[in-house]
Amino acid sequence: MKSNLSYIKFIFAAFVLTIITMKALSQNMKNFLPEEVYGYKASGSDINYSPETLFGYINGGAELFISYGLKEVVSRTYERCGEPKIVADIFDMGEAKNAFGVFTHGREKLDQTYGQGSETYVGAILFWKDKYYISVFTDEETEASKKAIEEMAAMIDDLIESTGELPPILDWIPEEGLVPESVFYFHHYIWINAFFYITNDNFLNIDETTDAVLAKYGKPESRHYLLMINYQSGEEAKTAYYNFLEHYAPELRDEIAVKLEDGKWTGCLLKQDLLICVFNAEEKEQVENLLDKTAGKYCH
Amino acid sequence: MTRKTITRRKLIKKGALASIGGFLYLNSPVKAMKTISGTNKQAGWKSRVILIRDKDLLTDFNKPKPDRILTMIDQAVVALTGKGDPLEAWKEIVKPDDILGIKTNVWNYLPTPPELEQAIKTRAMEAGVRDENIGIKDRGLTREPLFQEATALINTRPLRTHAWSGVGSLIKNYIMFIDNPASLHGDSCADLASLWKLPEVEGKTRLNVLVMLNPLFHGVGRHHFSKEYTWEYCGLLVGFDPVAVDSVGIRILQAKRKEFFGEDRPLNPPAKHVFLADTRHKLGTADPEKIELIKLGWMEKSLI
Repeated sequence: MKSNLSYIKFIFAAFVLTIITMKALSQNMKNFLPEEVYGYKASGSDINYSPETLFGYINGGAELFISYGLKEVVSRTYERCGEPKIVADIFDMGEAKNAFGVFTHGREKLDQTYGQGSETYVGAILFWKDKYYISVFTDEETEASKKAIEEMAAMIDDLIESTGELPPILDWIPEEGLVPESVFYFHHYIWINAFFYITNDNFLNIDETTDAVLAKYGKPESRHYLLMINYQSGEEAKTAYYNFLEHYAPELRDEIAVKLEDGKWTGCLLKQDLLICVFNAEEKEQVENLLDKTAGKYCH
Repeated sequence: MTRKTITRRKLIKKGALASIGGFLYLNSPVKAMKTISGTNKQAGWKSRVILIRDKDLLTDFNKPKPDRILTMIDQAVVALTGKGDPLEAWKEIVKPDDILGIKTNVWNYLPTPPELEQAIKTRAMEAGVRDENIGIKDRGLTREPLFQEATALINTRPLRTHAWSGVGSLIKNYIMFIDNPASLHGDSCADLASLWKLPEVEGKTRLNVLVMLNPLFHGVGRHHFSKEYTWEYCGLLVGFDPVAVDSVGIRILQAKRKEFFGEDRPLNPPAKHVFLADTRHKLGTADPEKIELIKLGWMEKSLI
């Protein structure tokens, strides 16, 4: 009976602690949102979303953020008489690499106007800084709403004073021939097909403990792709390597690169805890060069 | 569910360039289609899909002229049923004693246009269905008596890319027939076609209308939407087989992505639920070789 009571007390204390932590996190993020910008004022109460409640806000789109470890979202609406509403959302992604990963999803060009990387669309500015992914959005772009979202993005950028460090795997990407804006970070297997269909299955054992990167090389007519996965141990990388051989290209047991039935070359290399694959190259040398250069940049 | 590993290597080894897996996963071109049509699933049977477009349809983004969208849907059902005139065709689709649920879509940025909903309702009433027996709704279907008791469904929504399922299209549109849509989010919504086996749904869908007025071919940001990634296609895709209609819609989206980005840009993630709706759930056919596509109206830059 006494132990049951202790258990209930423990659960209650953990619950209260979670609530306090969540509130503290939200409060922290609210400090990044200005009260007033270019005649726009905050209206109504801020709304917080957790991974469990985000579906109510952005429906199936929530899964993208959850696949990158979303912790919490704070959303604030701004109004100005006679102008369309503006909504600013700050997503706490837990770690900088997750904020960067979500950001790389839609990235079409390199732009650092805001935060550590940004993109501007009609009526929207998206950027990432430290562990935060930020969206400033208006349904309709007018002269005033455009000016306001630009000022708001700049203010949020200033208010988040810290910056985030990215995992070392992003330093191992060879630059020669790289399409820089294509660098794409992930750690959920669903995103392995982001540029080029590889598999529907997770035989490479990609999960939240791995860091994975996809990148494009060459011109569109001779596009080839680099996939790197950094595992927690050499053993895990070795298992993935042999899985790749079994499921994709058994010929790679004897060769570093193989010409597939579509006439394109594929290769794979294991370097300690790093698995490196190259797909869709026109020439064998392209595969060999990219594998060698990546392995050469790797350091542990 | 049994899960098969489908790698690119497997697909190219099988020479699947013109198959369902070939086009859904590899963006491969589809071989020229034969034009066999029929009404039974014997050898040579094909699922008929109507693509109809009107270049003067829109007055604004996703806003069609009511008379023109009515004409389009009429022409589509005539071509689909093979009947002589629109009323005869609509009488083939709904019966006077039907309780009809028009399953629409209210997504803020790209909803089913009310003009199309009204066109469908108007024709259903002219075919004899009573006003009070017709419901138009998207959300809350599990608490909506008319949809729970419906004897007939017409499924209509716009086509768009989707951050988790690859596309939001007809198969996915029935997700509001369950209370917990997230329960089908596993493996990037692989088993959405299981919705079509629900008692409220199975065997009741009389018509599928995929709205292609301003399709969204790429998504960005928290809501996966920017008007910059839509275009004026001014079309409807209409069929009895939701998998076939979705399959044609995806080919158009993929062609647009290739045209816009200047290179193959597969859907991310792939729309595997459309593939599995055919191969695992047997809901219909996604195989371009088994689809009879009939094109009506304006066909400039039809992308298919």
